[in-house]
Amino acid sequence: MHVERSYSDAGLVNALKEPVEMDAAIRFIYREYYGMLENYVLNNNGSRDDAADVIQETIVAFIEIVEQGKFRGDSSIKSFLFAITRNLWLTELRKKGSADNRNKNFEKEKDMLDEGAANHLIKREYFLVIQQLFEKLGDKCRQLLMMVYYENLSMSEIVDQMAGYQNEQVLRNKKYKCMKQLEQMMQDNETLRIQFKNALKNAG
Amino acid sequence: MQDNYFDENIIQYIDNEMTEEEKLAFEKSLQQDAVLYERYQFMLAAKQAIRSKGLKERVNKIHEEYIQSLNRWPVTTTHFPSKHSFFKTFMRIAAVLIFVVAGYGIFEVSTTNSDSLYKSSFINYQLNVSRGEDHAQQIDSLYNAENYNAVITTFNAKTEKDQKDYFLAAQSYLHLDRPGEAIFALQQIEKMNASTDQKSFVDEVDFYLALAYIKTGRINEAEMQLDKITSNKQHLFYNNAKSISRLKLKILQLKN
Repeated sequence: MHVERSYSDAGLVNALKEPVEMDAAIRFIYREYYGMLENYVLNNNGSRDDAADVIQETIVAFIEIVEQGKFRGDSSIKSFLFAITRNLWLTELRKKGSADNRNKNFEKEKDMLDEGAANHLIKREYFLVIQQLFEKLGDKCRQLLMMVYYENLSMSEIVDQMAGYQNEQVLRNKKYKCMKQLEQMMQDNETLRIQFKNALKNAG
Repeated sequence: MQDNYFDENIIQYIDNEMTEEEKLAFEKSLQQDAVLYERYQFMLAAKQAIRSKGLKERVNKIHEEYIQSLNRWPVTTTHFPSKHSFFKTFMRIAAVLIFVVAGYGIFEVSTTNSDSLYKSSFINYQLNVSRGEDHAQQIDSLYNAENYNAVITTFNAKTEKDQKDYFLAAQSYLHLDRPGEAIFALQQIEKMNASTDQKSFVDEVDFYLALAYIKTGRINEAEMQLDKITSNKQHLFYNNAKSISRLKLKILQLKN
């Protein structure tokens, strides 16, 4: 059983930046905004399953935007989440449908987000490809890289948790090798390289 | 070698493992070297994508928890079906079927009993018109007149009884709701048939024994009789035995 916490917009942004507060903050987003976001997708040719996928993506993108300090607070969190959901859902419709006036709609919707947030959503499209390549790494590499880049554990903490590594230097070498392996897979993926270069150009 | 040098530096920079001095030198290189800058961005994207994956798993856990708390039947109006949604649709159909089957099961269990199954399976035995001896004619006439008590009295008064006498007595016992005595009479016919070449009412005995066993709640014995009948397509009561629900017999077994 979780204690249900309520947040103001500013409080929610702060809570999302604190690892210990994050789960409570995400639950608050679900309680407050899920229904509204789901209705948007359902009313625009989507199913509940579609809505579930898009809303999860929305929340992840929002947390990342907050973590990177790109949420300026010009609009309310409600409006901002709604804009991300619209953007992601129209991108999805564009992918699924043929090239028709959905493209025009997409461009229009994209304008509703500020540049930083819009660029982050573009980035997330190639994150997905990188995540698929990440899955091809060995178990130990995946476990180690998740501990370093997601859980933010120090090398000494990881040495204590992972068997088979005598000291931090051995672990650092392993991390380096794993990242090098991932980078090589990324370099070998031509679509990803092109997608990435275009995104860099657009970001200026 | 140069590449490895850069890779290590990029990762150290991304992971904040450089001294201030090293950091400044690396940032200067980034500004001057477009290739290095691009590779740095590539590695940075990898780090962010890994973090994003962890975050996605975290959100997904809370999502599942939230959807469960809504306690709703997921309704799909998918316009672009995926393998994922086909599986979910399949699971939903399975859930509805389980629900229907469970409902049917509850209905069957609550309404099935020995008496109802016996009555729905019973066939009134019609005796062929006999032009035989006097006493035979008498018992036949009583049976055809549905005077079952008189049939039994006549049967009991007879000193010599054949298969037909036992059979009509058994039928009368069944009509009078005395299945135990019917079973005894039918078993006598089996014994007589076993000891003579002049076998009579063989198929009839099989079927009515099954019914009498159902009526008395001796379901295992009823099942054996029915198996015997349905294993022989030429059996006179093959279709009748087939039409008796095995599911209902199982329910009766469980109820007993």
